[in-house]
Order: sequence, then structure tokens, then C-alpha cells
Amino acid sequence: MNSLQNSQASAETSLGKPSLSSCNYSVVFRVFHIAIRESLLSLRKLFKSTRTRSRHGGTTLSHPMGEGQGEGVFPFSIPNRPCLILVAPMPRWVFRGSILTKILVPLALIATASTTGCAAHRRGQPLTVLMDAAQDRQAVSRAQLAITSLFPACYRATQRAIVTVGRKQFACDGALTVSPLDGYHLAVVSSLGVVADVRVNSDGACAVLKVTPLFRESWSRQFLARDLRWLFVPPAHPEPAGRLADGRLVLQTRAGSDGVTARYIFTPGGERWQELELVKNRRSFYRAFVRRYRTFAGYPVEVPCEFEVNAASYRVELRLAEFFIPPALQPEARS
Amino acid sequence: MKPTSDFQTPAGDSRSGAIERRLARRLDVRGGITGLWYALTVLGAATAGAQTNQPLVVASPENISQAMAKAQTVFTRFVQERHLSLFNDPLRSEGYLCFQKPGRIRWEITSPYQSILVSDGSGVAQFEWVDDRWKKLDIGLADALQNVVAQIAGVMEGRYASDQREYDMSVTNTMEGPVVVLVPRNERVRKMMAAIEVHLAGDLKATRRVVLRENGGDYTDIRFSDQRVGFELPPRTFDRNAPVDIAQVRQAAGETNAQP
Repeated sequence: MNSLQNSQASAETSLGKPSLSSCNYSVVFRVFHIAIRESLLSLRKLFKSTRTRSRHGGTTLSHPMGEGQGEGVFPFSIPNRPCLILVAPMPRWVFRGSILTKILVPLALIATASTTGCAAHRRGQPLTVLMDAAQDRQAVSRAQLAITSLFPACYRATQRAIVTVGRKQFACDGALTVSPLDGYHLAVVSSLGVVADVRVNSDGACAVLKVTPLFRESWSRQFLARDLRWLFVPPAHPEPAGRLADGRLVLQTRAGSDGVTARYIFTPGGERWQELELVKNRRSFYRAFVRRYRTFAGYPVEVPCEFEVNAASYRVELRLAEFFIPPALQPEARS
Repeated sequence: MKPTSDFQTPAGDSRSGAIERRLARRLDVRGGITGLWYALTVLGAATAGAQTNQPLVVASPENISQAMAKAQTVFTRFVQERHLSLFNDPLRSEGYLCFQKPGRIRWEITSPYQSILVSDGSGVAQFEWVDDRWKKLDIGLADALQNVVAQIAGVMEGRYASDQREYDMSVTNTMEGPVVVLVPRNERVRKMMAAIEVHLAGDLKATRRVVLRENGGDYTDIRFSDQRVGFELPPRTFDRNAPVDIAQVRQAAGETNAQP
């Protein structure tokens, strides 16, 4: 379990909680070089020319990337590279000093940014999967079995979710019923009533069964059905993709009609599913972490009971509060 | 439940973001929650004289309003079932409701998960039991919730019968007791909440059920039991940062099997 937590922690670090250890130093040095060059040649001119008067009489700096773009972002940032902050609101005395000051101050500020954890945010960069030279077929088989038999064929579950959108949190319940006949049927209920009701088939096809004033139909399709499909519907034919640097095994699906590839990350031996990454156009846009497994009364096999989803526009902490197989479905579930 | 130190508060700011504002406009949340709270205030009114042997009373808005003015504290267990039209079995949860004038409410779910929604009269807070500790949520639509609570406070001060701008109210007498039906007057609210039914005991001294009927056949059925009124609540029962353990509230309410 400790290894699971450690691996999750390392994976988390690489996505949303950057640290100095995960910093891409080559990129930092490249930025340093750019900073020196540009600070010598054009920094003063750039900011002086864009200085304007605010309504309140103070001095403001308009960003060279244009209004509303990259505010507070280093103007020479490199796409898809560590985020580089500062400089835009830099005080005027920075640009008035000697050449030495012009060089050292930006460098000091950038160094501060990097050491305080701002330089290694790799949002959108997919996990680096290395080819598995050993081709551990047993581990792959275990992982394939693990991901396709996570849950029984029929069950009911009560979920509790905390959805974070724009720093605000909303708690809601989920009622999930699964059967081969009806697919994956999820209703989300809040304190205000039913939020949405969707059904997803094993092939990923989605039907929105109920639209309420609380939740747009497009949101149900884009977000709710996506969470349901990728967290609870097993992939059809996951294929071995390799391993991560920490040794964890990776299976992935073929790109669907929407161009999305799902990468399932397992323990090195393939026993347990730990993480999911969705990739499209070489960009990671969705990560889910399995936080915990447990057994429930009436079903002795451990199932994933806590998930953490980090999507582009929202975050979900999802727990299974109840999990059981209705008596009428038990023979079907065993099959 | 754990002591105060287990409460984890969010680090984020309390500004309402653009997404929240869009959502708030879309929801018209005030009306929906007002309906729930309105039903709960009727509960408070009806339980004002619970556990007494007073004669039967003819149910009317005025009678309920008068009883409401007497209710200082209310504590009750509840079993809530959400019946969804497309599901065979309901979503079931259990917990406790606690109320104190003026406008303090605590709605605590204890099973199948643990959650607290609490208002101290000046604001609302929500807590979730996560990783063996209470985690305070930075809830969205907090301002709307607070407005709702302020309305409740006004209702609890005795303006129930005279101020019926939000709902059309009717009382029907049945064999089991009177049923108060509240129908939202606002059309947008009616799209979310078709009606609220409050099932009272025959002597108006207790509320048996509250049913929140939504459009499309879904409804929430809340059944109350072990209602207790007129007792001293422990400090921090409605604290928005670290509410006291529900076991202490249960002890204060006189539950014999309450465990600290």
C-alpha cells in the first residue's frame, strides 16, 4: 500500500503539484539565456513602450502578448514548457539600474520562481512511457485481467462526490446501476434535486436521460458521461504500452473516433490499477487517480472506492459510499 | 466524529467566480432551497409542542404560525429517501436535523456517508468527512444560501401566515393528520420543485414526513422520528468552522443511547 501511495504521490507531483525535483533544468537554463539576452537588448524598450496610465492615475503595464493573455506570465515563455511567472508587474527600478542590475534582478526573480515551485508545472504534457524491453507478459496479463474485472457485471453503488469548479465546491450524490442489459446508468442528485441522469453503454455511447435546469445537456455529455465511462466502464482491448520511469506498467487503448487514447497505469506487477490518463493530440487533458480500494458487505472482492479526477475545468473527489449486488442480479453478476 | 482539530478548512478565497455566477443564474437556487427550508420551518413549528398531550387542533396557517413562534430548539432524526423515476430503488440516507432560533440550522447526514450543512444565522458552511477528518468545503452559491437562511429567520419570527409571497399554501385533513401543501408561486421555481408536502401529526404537535416533489416524478421523502424540543443546545452546535460533535447534541437533546 505504501508503494501505491508513493507512486501516486510521484505521479501527482508530475501533474499538479510541481516541485523543484521535477523541474526540467534544461528548460530553465534556456530561459535564463533568453532572459539575459532579452534583458540586455529589449526589455526596457518593451515595457517602457507599453506603459500606460490607469484610471486611478497609477502606472500599469499592458502585456506584450495582448490584453487578457498571459497576464502575469513571463513574456518569453515557451509553449508546453514549465510555467514561468513574474516580470510583467516588475517595478520600474529594475529597468533603471546598471547593466548588472538589469541582468541580475530578472535572473534572481526567475530563480526564485523556480525554487518556489512555479517552474515545473507540466499541465498537458502526457506521462512519458518507456518501452518495456522485458515484455513481462505475466504482468500485462494480470493488468488486463485487473482492469477488465474491476467491478462485477451487475451492481448498484451510491457515490458521494465533491466537485470543484472555479475554486467553489459542490457536493452531490450519485446513484449508479450497472447491468449488461441496461449499461451504466448514473443519476446525480444534489440538495436541490436531480442534477442529471445519463446512461453509458459498454462501447462508450452516451444517452442523456434527463436534463434539468441545474445542468446543461452538453455538460452531461462532456463531463458526466466522460467520468462515468472512463472510471467505471472497462476498456475493450487494452494493449501493453510500456512502463513509466518508476516501473509502473502502462496499458493503453487504441484511439477512438474522438482521437482519445486512454492510458491505464498499474502497479509494476500489473496487480492493481492506480491511475488513468486521457491523451488527445499528444496532450494529456484528464487524469484520474485511484486513491483507495476496499471491500463492501456482500461483495468480498476489493473494488476501487475513492477516485480523484483532475480535468481541465474541474476536479472531482469521488467516493463509493455503498456498493452491493441486488439479489435479483446476483446470478447475472457472477457470470 | 472527531474533535475540533480535525476540521480542515479550505485555503481558497471566498470570491464568487464567473462559473458560479453563471450557475447561480441557471439554478435559481434560492427558490429551490427555500422550499426545503420552508418545509423544515413548518417542521419546527409543528414540533414546538411535541411530546405533550394537548388536544387536537384544527390545522390552519395561523395555527402553524403561532406554534412556530414557540419553537426555540428542535432536534430530530430523519430518514431521507430520494425516489428517482428511472431507478427501482431509492437513494437512502439517515441523519439528524437541529434547529434553534433565530435561523440556526444543522442538517447532518450520518449514513451512508457523513456530511454537515450548518448555518449559524449569519452564514452557511458545509463539511464532508474525508480521510478520517472533517473537511470544510468552499461551497458555491454561499450567498444565495445565506439569503435563504435570512428568509427563514423572518419566517421563524412569526411572519408565516401573513407573508405568503413565495408559496401558495393549502391544508388538507387526512386520516393520519393534516397535510400542508406548499406550491411555489414563481414559475421558474416550480420547474424545479413542483410542491412540498408537510405531513403533520393529528394534534399538530409533530411532523411525520416532508415530501419534496419535483417535476418528472422524482421526489424526496423525509421521515422524522424522535423529535425533541425545548432543550439547551451545546455551544458550537451551529459553528461554521468547527461544529460540535453530533453526539453531544444528542446527549443535550436527551437521547439515552447517544455516545460521545
